[in-house]
Amino acid sequence: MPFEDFRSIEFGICSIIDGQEIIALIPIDDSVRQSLYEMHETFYNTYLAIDGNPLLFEASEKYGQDEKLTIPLNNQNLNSLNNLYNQPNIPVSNLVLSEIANKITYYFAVFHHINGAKQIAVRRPSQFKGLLKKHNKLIQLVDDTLKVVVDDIFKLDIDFDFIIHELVIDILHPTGFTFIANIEEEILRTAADATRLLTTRIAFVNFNYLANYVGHSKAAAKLIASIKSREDLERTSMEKLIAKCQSLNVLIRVENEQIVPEDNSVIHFLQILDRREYDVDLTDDNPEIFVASSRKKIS
Amino acid sequence: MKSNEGLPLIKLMMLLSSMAPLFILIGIKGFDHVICDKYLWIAVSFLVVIPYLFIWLRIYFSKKSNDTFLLDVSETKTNREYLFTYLITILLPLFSVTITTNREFVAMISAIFFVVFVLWNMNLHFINILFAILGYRVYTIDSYNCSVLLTKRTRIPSNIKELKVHRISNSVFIELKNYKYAI
Repeated sequence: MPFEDFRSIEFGICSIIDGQEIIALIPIDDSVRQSLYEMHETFYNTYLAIDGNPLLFEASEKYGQDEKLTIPLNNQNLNSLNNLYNQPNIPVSNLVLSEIANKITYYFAVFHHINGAKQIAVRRPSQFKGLLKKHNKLIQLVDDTLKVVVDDIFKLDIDFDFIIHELVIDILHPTGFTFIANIEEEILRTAADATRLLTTRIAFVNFNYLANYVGHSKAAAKLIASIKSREDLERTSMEKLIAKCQSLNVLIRVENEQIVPEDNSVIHFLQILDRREYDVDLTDDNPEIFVASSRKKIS
Repeated sequence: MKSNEGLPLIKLMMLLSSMAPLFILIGIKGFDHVICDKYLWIAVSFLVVIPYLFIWLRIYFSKKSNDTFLLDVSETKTNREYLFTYLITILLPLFSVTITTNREFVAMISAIFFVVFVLWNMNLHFINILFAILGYRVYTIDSYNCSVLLTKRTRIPSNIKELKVHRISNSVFIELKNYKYAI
């Protein structure tokens, strides 16, 4: 996409100051705009070069550095990013940047396309110290825009972690996305309610019993978030689930026609539902049981 | 955490320039008992010319650096009454004061300082006779911390949701006439 296709490119930061999240735009000149545009291009060059269609981001999955992922912007755990995207006029920074450079959580660029579309590209800073390269003192009085310099005082990163569109988010660096979206905390905050709601999708599992445990365990909450996004939950077989639990030594009991995992087996039970726990029986010994931190369906 | 409004010198110059009509009127009226006309007009000239020079420089550098923002102008309201308010509440009361002693002169200068201080804190530095003379109208943007847009448009049509504009200060933006903004 040519540089001229963008009507406007703006630059901003998010910082936590005195416990309060502050999002603000920072005036830039065209040299910074060009750099941000190049980061945008590098993002999509890398993103589109990865084989296959974008996969749905799952919080419970372990990802590599570069992935081709996507997630709907209206995901209930992405409120902060949704607010960032839909904030109509982000204020221009009133902060003294040299004092907050090391408190910046992330920086972002707002790309306004000439067709009216908007994208917000976000990056966790890796080289933000020494960001400010201002004009000389005299010029500073009437023009305080940042300038990109060719030495190593200030370097933008080579690409963005993720780019927010109107409906979806394209994710290239899942680690940065997870950190910036604070998705683990968001998932944990809503985990108990999300767990109870699963009862409507698998009636033979007592999710109400699990809700309290899940609300205090990040690992369990991430598994619930992943399970919730599955489209085949309603087709889960009670008999097959019980059989799989028994084969993997996951302790469960059946009460009032509902499966209840024992307290020390809750995580294992959720891992089975999330297709992460499996056994391999290739020797004369007992079957080996594994947990997949990352998995890919092949059939 | 220290914070500022960004470009504080420009903000001060804009405030001083908003007082330019008062300075000119004072120059015409004179302070015969306190200061001779020669020095008074030198002071008035500085107080009128230098602020406008800085504003011109600010707009020049804003254009040079392409210091532009895309403002959401879907919720704006015109501020037609500001000049009248400015005239009644600031200009005329200060102008009507008769200065015959050094003490009254110092009181007058102090009053101007207080007015500048209040206008500074209320972010009212957009009040500017020059912009009004040049045909710029003032629009308050509700969704942008009540920032101000200066534009020559007589109204902002409802089908225009966003306008690309130059930044003068962090709360005053201007849509320059004859500047070719991207579509």
